[in-house]
Amino acid sequence: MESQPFKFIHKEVICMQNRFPGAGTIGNLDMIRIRSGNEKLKAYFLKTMQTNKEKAVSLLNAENLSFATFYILMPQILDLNVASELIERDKAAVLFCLRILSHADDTPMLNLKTPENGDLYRNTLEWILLSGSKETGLSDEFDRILEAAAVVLLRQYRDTEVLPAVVRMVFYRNRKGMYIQDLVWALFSLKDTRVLSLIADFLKSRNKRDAELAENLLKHASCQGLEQKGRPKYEAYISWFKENSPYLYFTDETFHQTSDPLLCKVNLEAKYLCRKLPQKDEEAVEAFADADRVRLSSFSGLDNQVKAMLAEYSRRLYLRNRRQWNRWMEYPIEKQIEIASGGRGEHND
Amino acid sequence: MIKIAGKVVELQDIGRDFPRGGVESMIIQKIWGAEESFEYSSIDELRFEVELRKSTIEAAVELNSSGMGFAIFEKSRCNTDYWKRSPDGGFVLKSNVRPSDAIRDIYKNGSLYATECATAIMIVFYKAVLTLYPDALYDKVFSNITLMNWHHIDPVFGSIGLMKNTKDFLPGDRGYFINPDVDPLTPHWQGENVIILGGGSYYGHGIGIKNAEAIIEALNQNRARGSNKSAYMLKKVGRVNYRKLFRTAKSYH
Repeated sequence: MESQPFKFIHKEVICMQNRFPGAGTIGNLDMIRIRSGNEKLKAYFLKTMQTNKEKAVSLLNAENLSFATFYILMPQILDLNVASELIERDKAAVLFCLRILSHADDTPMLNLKTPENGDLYRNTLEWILLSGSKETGLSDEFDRILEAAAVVLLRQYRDTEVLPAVVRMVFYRNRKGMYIQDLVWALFSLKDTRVLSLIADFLKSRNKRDAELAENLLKHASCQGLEQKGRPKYEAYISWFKENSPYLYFTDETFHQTSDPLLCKVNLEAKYLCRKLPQKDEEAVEAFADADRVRLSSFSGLDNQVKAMLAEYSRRLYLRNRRQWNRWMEYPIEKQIEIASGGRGEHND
Repeated sequence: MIKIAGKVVELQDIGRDFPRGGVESMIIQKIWGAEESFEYSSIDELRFEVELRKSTIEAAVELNSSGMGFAIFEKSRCNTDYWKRSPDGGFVLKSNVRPSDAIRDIYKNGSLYATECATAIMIVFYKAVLTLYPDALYDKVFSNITLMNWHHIDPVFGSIGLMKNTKDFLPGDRGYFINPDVDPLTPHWQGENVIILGGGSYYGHGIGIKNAEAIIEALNQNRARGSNKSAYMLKKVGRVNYRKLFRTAKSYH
């Protein structure tokens, strides 16, 4: 498991191939970079520009070109003034890079105009991220561009296809001691429980920093029971997730605000009523509580620990025997607590 | 409400310790008028808290005029005579320098430094304590400083990182303005950490000393395109563990 989370899984490769025909194959320029290094790549590109400009441009415009190779050649692209001859994807990538690296003032000179929204922008950012993330660590600036592309895709486009790549990037950066909190913030702002499962995969990593980060993030997502003796943490997570995922919702707390954010919480009211939350945000939780105000009137005022105990009991009984559960729910709250806490033994019909 | 040694005290009982018109008087009135109950073992402990809150305000105002720049963590910078920049953009105290000198250097050579708002808030608190502690004690207590955000925080300052719900915003507390619909290209504008200065003023690094409306306006200018969801101040504060710092100071004397 040492490096498995950092490898592209088959499904992602298929996704990339659908979006970018030619992805999964290696282009000529990428081949030179991989085999001979960055300097040889630059020399080859320069020579091709001098001898056959048309060919050089077509190599840059290849569908299967990786962003890493494009990025390495970008200073030459700008120096040799070929940006305006590139395909729209490449032009949008140039503008995005210059903006992120705070060289936005240079862009009017390039006479490039591409919108910062719409399909072209999104496809370009996906190309940057998905073809570039394999080379995370290339340089500080390169990593900053990947991070920015990830944040825009998650926040502006709610793009879930990039989730595995972004989660891998978080863990890679964490291994290197790099800043991860903006990526974590963008991931959780998607309010999608798949993020938790992708993080939980790293509980299995043999790398200590991976496992520690996964555990820490999951704890900030209300995940409990990871420290059971003799039980693998990933198994404990699966069990917790299965029990609680229908009732999870995401808060607006972030690591930017506080050292101890609760990034998502289990809505005990929903768990008590055994009703899945329709949406995963705090507004949905408020609407839910409003709709069930009468049924929740006694429950909501209880101490949190008692609420958690009742909610857990309620869910177990609901799954085991719906008729018993209906009857138990009709009891006054005191009697529900007495039964659930085992004061009168297991509830019998 | 203020309680000293278990007894509720009136403002006039402690007024002579905090002369009218000064910053101390403004602070004590805010504490006394708070909904929350503030308890102290002695008048000295209360006086220490008031002094430290005052030093916090002064340290914030001084940092604002120190010339320290604003930079995202990836581009932060520091004076490498005193600090080592870590890969995540934080500043780690060098082993061969005195913590008190390193903190003073930020105020003396502000232009050599650039960082985000959370780091600036930590610098303010470190400087505030330096005003009250003798150098020898300070260097002993804060021998390993990392300046970054709430995730590399000295246990002595742990409570500043935690935000607690409150109705009482006191001068010297850490506050937070959140920008829920921030422009994804400027995630560092997702919120602004501030020091509450009193009189409706706040210090936020990168924005300056402003009132709440101006801070909200600055954040709103960095919203996602088309969004009309405004920034707002959280009803939460991060507060120094004054008792702990007081006891440390007392045990030294």
